[in-house]
Amino acid sequence: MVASSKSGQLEVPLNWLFILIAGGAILITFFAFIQRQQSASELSIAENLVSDLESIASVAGTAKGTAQQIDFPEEDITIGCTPDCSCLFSIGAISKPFGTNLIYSPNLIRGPNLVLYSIDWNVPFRANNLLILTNSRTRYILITPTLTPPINRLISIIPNMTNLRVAKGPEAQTAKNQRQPEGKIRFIYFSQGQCDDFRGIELDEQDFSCLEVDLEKHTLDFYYRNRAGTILGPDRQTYLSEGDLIGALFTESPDQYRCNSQAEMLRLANLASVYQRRAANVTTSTCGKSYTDAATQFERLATEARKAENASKLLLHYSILSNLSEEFIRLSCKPELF
Amino acid sequence: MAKSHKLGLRPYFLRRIRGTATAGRHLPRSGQDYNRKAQIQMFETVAVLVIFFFLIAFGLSFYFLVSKTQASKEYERTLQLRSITFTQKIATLPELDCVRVTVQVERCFDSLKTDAFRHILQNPGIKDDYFALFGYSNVTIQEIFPSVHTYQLYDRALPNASASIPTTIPILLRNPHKNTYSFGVLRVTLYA
Repeated sequence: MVASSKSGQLEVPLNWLFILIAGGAILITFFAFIQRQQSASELSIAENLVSDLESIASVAGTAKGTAQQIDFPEEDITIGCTPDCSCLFSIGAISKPFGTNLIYSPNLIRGPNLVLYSIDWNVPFRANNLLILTNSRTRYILITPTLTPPINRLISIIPNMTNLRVAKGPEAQTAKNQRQPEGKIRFIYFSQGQCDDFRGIELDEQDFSCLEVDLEKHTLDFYYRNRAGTILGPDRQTYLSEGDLIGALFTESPDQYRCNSQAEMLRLANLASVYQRRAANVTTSTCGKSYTDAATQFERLATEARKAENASKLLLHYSILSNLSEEFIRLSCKPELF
Repeated sequence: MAKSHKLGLRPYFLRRIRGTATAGRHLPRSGQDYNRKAQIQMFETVAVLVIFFFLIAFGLSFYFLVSKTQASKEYERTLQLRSITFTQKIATLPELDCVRVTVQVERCFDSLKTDAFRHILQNPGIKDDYFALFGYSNVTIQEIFPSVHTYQLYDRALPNASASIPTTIPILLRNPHKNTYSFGVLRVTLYA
């Protein structure tokens, strides 16, 4: 009797112990499964968003001069290039390379209102479509004492849906004090030595960047804030045409601008070679103009673009070809130069 | 059998069959009886657990099967979308497009540019430059009317490709010398 009661006493706790262990194992299994599914689902959402963004960018890249507002989830989109020009856009743990799209944007943007704007890169023929990606939370302040015709033209090209404001006249003096809570702010000047002043201004946590444009020399000086809050720059770059200048207005990182410029130059070099061969193959002309000069200019442009060293030489060939094309159009030459 | 006998199962059931063991609670129980009851309960619990896990395994395998099918459908859809986007991109390439007084003509290829581009792509260095754009694909321009010609622009097949998605779109081919147009198609096969 003593033995049986002992056995009975032991049986109940053992049963409970067994239930606890089995129940725990089942709970752990389910918990692990749910965790795994949750992370897989997050990855899948990020993957879908990145793919969607890539598709949107690819489609937008086929049309020029289009601007669209995209409703996008409130996810952080990180965009950037490494110094060796590996350019990616990322959402969460998922990243995708830019591919052949040339994207000009701030380093970080967030939904829900993204703006995607495509502009053709004319040098002086269309060499590519450039994409500008921004959002309504990033404010751009274009500061100029007077609105000159080139600045006016720039403002007229940029779509209204971008958060761009123009500070002119007396407003230009106080523009430096403007801030953008919960977003980025970018100051754009058309004169030198302005961005440097921000080093002495209290910016708190403001995500700030600044650009100085020299419309005469075709130079761009990038200033930006690093994670420690120090203002870095100037990082000098050059631009060839209106398209890459507009790209620079919206690009925070000089690395991203430089990488896009490199890709553009390579494309320009190859395209100039196509035009050079095309001009060399033209056998007859309706206006008595020779295509040989044009072929030579295209060849020079291709050589300079491949070197990508001397912006002034590139600008010279650009200008010669532009004048040649205008002359061909004026004389109604067939075939056209480009 | 010997094992169950050793565990004391057989005498218990034999007694129940013979009527010597009727209702357990009316009989004095030995330690062996309690052991047997516990063993039966244990077997029951284990059996329930086995069935439970079997059902979970079955449910999971079904779920993964459905997920796999959905994933493969999604992959196919993505490939098709990529192929269409890719074709659209080629159709608007500045290396091929027709421009009339600085205005781009949609879905029109300049035959002089096409020839020049085809020639330039024969240079391996330039072909590599365009790999980022064309990837593993075959791009062919076919003139259909009034004359019939086929020009292969680019070809780089993916070794051991699991899928190839062909996309065809109608285009115009412009002869800039004569300012005449021909009908044609752009055939793009994307390998994945």
